[in-house]
Amino acid sequence: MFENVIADILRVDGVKGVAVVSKDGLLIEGQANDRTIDVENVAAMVATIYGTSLNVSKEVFHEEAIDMITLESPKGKIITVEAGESAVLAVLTDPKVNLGLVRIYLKRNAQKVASML
Amino acid sequence: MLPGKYVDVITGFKDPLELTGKVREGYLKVAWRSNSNIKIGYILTKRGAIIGSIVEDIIENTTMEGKPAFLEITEAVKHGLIKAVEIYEADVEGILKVNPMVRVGFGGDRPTSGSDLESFLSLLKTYKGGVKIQDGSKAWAVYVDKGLVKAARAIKGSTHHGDAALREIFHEMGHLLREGKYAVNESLNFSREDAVQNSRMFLEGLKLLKEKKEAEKDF
Repeated sequence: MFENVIADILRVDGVKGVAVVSKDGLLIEGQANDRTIDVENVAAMVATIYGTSLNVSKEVFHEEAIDMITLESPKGKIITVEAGESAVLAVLTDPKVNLGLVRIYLKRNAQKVASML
Repeated sequence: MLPGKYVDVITGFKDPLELTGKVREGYLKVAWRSNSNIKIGYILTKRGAIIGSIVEDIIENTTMEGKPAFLEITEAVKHGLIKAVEIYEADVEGILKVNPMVRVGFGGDRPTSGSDLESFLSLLKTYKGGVKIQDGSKAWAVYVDKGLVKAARAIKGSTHHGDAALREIFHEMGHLLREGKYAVNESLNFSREDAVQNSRMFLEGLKLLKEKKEAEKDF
């Protein structure tokens, strides 16, 4: 159902995988262009990162919403945005990806996911 | 990626090609899985007519343009692989100027050969507006509305109107499919006497003709 969203983001240079994930950690749909990536596994971890970050946001900022979560490692990044009430949209990228471009694609496609769910 | 302004995303449709009327000038963007790849398809449309098409393979990083791309999208549609359609407003002529290979060869203002029956059927099924059909010394104007032919008249070679004009086109169909041409024409006018009573007849007849031609090919 989300092939349009996944394909749109996967085209961005440096993006290795895309996943639409329910907030409780189930992979709704995903695709990686690198066969070594286990999308289902990443989906579960993304939901954990999102849940923990939401708790931090509540504690520190007294705010129950998160715009974007970025995990940066020397070998890559995982960027996650909320996509409606029940899902998040996450991408796995190379370390030198154009972050601005990825953010634009993520925001735009998160709105599509929200309207399709 | 084509330039354009995102309008909407639609799910739960019967046939994605029926959504061409949702935008006056622009494209439908669809995506589907093909084995372990994901493909994106663009259907360029203007006033309901399908003008151009592109298919991109995201993983293999390859592109297909024009009619082969359109046929690949219709295959994906046939197999129910397309679940969502994004609609974009865009300058279709501008896109075609930059890359003329995108043109599907039917549905635009340029005349298309009558021998391309499949394209003619696609135009009749998706377009809403006037179409000029030419066959040697004869010519007809028909008004189609997504599969229905609502008006018809001869504009050259005879004076038939309505159902009689359609019957005349059918009568000439053999020759028309060999040497005739058709083209979208926005400037065609129709009057009350051009109204067609049996508006499904033309498309149904062409479908039967296509089946007959396919059956003949098998023998």
